[in-house]
Order: sequence, then structure tokens, then C-alpha cells
Amino acid sequence: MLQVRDLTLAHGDLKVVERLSLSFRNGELTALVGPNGAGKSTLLRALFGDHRASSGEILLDGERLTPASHRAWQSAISYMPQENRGRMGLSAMETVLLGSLGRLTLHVPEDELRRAAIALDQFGLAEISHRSLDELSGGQKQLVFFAQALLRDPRVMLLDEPVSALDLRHQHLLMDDVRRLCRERSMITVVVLHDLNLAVRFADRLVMLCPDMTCVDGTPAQVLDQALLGRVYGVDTRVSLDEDGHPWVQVRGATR
Amino acid sequence: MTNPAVDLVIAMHRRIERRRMVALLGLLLLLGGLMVLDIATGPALLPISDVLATLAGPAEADMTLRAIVWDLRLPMALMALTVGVALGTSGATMQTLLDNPLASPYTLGLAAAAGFGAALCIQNGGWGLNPSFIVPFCAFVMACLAAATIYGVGNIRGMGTDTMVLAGIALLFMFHSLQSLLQFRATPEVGQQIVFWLFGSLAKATWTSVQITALACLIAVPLLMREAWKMTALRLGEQRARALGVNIVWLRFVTIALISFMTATAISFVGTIGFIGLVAPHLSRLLVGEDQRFLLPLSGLVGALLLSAASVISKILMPGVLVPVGIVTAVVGVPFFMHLILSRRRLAL
Repeated sequence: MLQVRDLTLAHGDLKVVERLSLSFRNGELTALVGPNGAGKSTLLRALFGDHRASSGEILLDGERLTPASHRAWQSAISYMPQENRGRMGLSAMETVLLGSLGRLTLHVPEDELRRAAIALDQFGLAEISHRSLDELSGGQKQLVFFAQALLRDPRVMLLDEPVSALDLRHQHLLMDDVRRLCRERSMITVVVLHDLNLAVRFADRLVMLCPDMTCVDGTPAQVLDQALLGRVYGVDTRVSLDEDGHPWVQVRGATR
Repeated sequence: MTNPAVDLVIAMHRRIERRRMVALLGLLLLLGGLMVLDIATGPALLPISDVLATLAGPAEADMTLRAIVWDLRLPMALMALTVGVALGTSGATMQTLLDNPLASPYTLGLAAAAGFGAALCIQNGGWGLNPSFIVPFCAFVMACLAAATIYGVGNIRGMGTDTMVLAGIALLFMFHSLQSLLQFRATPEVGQQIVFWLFGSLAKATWTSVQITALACLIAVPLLMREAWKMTALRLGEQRARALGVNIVWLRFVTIALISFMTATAISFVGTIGFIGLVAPHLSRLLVGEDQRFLLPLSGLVGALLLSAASVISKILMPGVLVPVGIVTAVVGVPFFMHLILSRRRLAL
């Protein structure tokens, strides 16, 4: 279990998250939603131990994140940042292999190569394993990074907008894999998503960070409230139920 | 449980590794040949067979031949080798570390700092100390200072790589100006000495300076190779490298310290040699890609190849005159670099 207690996060003097308390369970897929600037990415980085909290604490299975436990903490977590670079000349295989960075030597051991190759094959990437990332589609690239993240054998998965650059089909393919592996490996999984309907379809739970630094936490049906969305996002929405009984958000326009 | 697709991926990976290894060995052989040619060329052109025979058995060789090969030209050829390795490997490391294709010991002001250090020392008559020791020492200290400044500035501003590159370029200008100031104030004789040092010449090589430079490379390169995978991870961007568990602050400190030590040692003995540190990594990247296990040693090799080639050219350019190699590398280097930029643009489109 990953717990956040009274967590306050800031960029310099600007607070983005204030006195937040949450807990994330094993095998549960949490979608982190909210408007731009609400602190979703910052929270994710803080959970990975890459952004120092102004106050409050973070615990993984009861162990606190401290400067002393930082290394061990990060080795238990896979964090997939947002796409942030133009050219990447490494091949898919080399990229996935980096997932076991600590065990790589100048001559890569056979079993490390095998682990990486199996990971690539699992996502149907064996064919393109030696193409450079620059030559891959956005969807393939995200799958490569996801395979890399999994190679670390993490207890916690933190994915920052993994599908925002993907087409509809690849959004669903990737999220299918995320949910399946979250269950299979009983990983704590937190995914930042912008598409609320995608969040409804895949997440067990929604955590919505609001610009006023409050947070709404609950099942999709609880969080996706028409009035709440209107207030938080500044949009005019209709929330209805689709044929499967899932809430369905229809945005009719921005409120001025 | 065997899976043919998985086995194929592994086999492909091994094949690529082998191919890159062959590229390394091939260039190593080429370098050996070039060094023999380097030893053979000079005011007295020696037959290759004589060079080889003298190298193999100095005891039996003719006295003059032995003196030319072993005392004059072999130190120069080995200096070209070690300095090329130092500059090439450092350039590759800098480009990876600072995530900037323009980074090199020259463009970031290390060479200019060394030049200023040497000029300052020459200007003051070496404070009465043995010039063959104190001039390189001053150059070394100043180059290390420049590297420390670049590192320090990056540290203050939250380790931004762009800030570090900008700081390096600013240092380049500053040290150039300071050195011009010294030259402007110097007497013609001292000014001449400074200019001669700045040209960058392998002729200053002695067995002692070769041994020191080689030792610096032998210490720094293996230690850099230990960080090769971490540097490869850095090619995915800083945030992704951190997510993979790379301690970037520490990595940057270790690698900058190593390459500063290595390049400062190299340039303090030979003076300003540009372009090798910039071009060698780019050429190597074309050959073996971004895997730093291969890129770092290959950049060193290509650096040595370029400098050996420049050394040969510098001796045959004007018969009877040894043109300083620093001049040749830049003159040959510029069109080469332009070609590189243009062909890259074509690739990017």
C-alpha cells in the first residue's frame, strides 16, 4: 500500500498540492485527473521521490520515504515521465534493456538479453526490436517505454499521461495492458489521464486534483458529478450513463 | 521454453554487437597503419619496411634510423594517438552529458583556458621554473579551473545542461580575450613564444609527456567505460534516466572530473587542437549509434585517427616545413564539419 499523509508540494513559493492524504492499494488502478496545473505530474514525481515534499510524508508498505531510503524506494517504483525529447537514436531493444540498468555490464549477460527480448515479444515488438525509437510510431514508442518500466519488476507503477499522444486504438491497447499487468502482478498503479471517459473505462478509482487544492476521491460514478466538473474544469458538461452503466461525460463547451 | 521470436531478437542483438566490435577492431588496424605512415613521413622520408624493422628491433637498427624513429617520430606519433583518444572520448562524453551536439573540449573553453594558462606562464618567464614543466602545469590548472567553473555554474542553476554549455562558451570568449590582452602587452619575442604554443603542435612531444598523457587516458577511459550504460540511459532524456535510477548529479560530477583531467593533461602538452573533440563523436555516432559502450571507445579511436591523419598531412603540406598540427585539424576540419551539418539536415528532413 502506498500512502500519502498531509502532503504539501510546491514549486518554489507556489503551492500546487496542500495537505493531501490518499492511499493506493495493490492491484488497484487509480486514474489521476484534473485540469492543467493542478499538480498531477508533481504529485507523481513526489511519489517517485523525485520531487521533495514541503511537508507531510509518503509511505510504501509502512516504510517512510526519507533521503536514506531514497535509493531503495526508487528501485521499487517504475515511473514513466511524459514524452519530453525530440530525437532518440537508441533502438527499442537497447531502450528496454536499460530497464535493468543496475545489472548491465559491458558484456550484457545472456539472461538480461532474454528478459528484454521476452518483454518486447510480449508487446508484439519483436519485429521492430532493432529499429531506433525515432523510426517508431508514438504508440510503439510508448509500448517500448512501458516494457522498459515493467522490466524493473516494480511494486508501484506511475504513468504520466501515457496515452495523450496516441490514437484511439493505441490508447485502448496500452490501457488494456496497463490494467492487465496491474492485476496480474498486483501492482499499485497510478495513471495520469486527461480523457475522463477513458479513465472511467479503465480505472477502479478516480482521484481528481482541483485547482483550489482540494481533492475528490472515489469511484468514477462518485467523482464525475456534473456540477463538480463544471466548477473544477470550467466546462459545461452532461454526465449520463452509457449502455454498460458507466458514467459518460459529454463536454458541451467551456464556460466563460 | 524456447520462443523463436525471442531467440531471434537475442541473436540480432548479438550480431549488432559483433558488427560494432568489428568496426572498432577495423579502425584499430587502420590506426596502426596510419601511425606507421606517420612515423615514415617527415623531412627524411623513410621506407615503411625500415620503419617496421626499426620498431621491431631497435637494437639491430642503424643509429640514425633509430634516432629518427625512436627519439623523434615515435613520441610524436604516440602523442597524436593519446591526444586524439583524450579529445575524442571527452568530446563524446560531453555531448552525451550535456545533451548538446556542439559540446567539445574546444567549444566549452577548456582549450582556451589552457592557452591562457600557458600564455600567462610564458609572459612571466615561468617564474624562473623549468618551462617544460611549468607551462603545461599552468595550462592544466587553468583548464581544470574552467571545467570546475562550468560544473559549478550548472550546479547553481539547478544543473541545467544548456546553462553549462552557455557558461562554457562564455568562458571560451573570456579566455580568448584575456590571452589576447597578454599577447597585446607582450614583447615581440614573448608574443612569438605564446603564438607558437597556441598553434597546437605535436613537435613538443617527449617520451615523458607521452607517458603522462597515456597514463591520464589509461586512468580516465576505463573509469568512463564503467559509466557507459548510465550515459546511454541519459540519451533518453534526463527525466527518463532518473526514472531508471541514474544519479545524474553524481554521474555528471564523476564524468566531468575524469574528462577534465584527461583533456587538460592532453592539451597542456600539445596546445590548442580544435575540431577533433567535436567531429570524432559525430562520426562515431554515424557508425555505431548511441550505445555508449561502443561510442566512447570508438570516438577515442576516431579522434586518434583524425589526429594521426592531420599529423601526416601537416608534414607533407609544405615540404620541409612542419606546419603545426592544430592549424591542419581546423583547416581540414571545417569543410568536414560543414558536410556533416548539411548531410544531417538532409537526414532530418
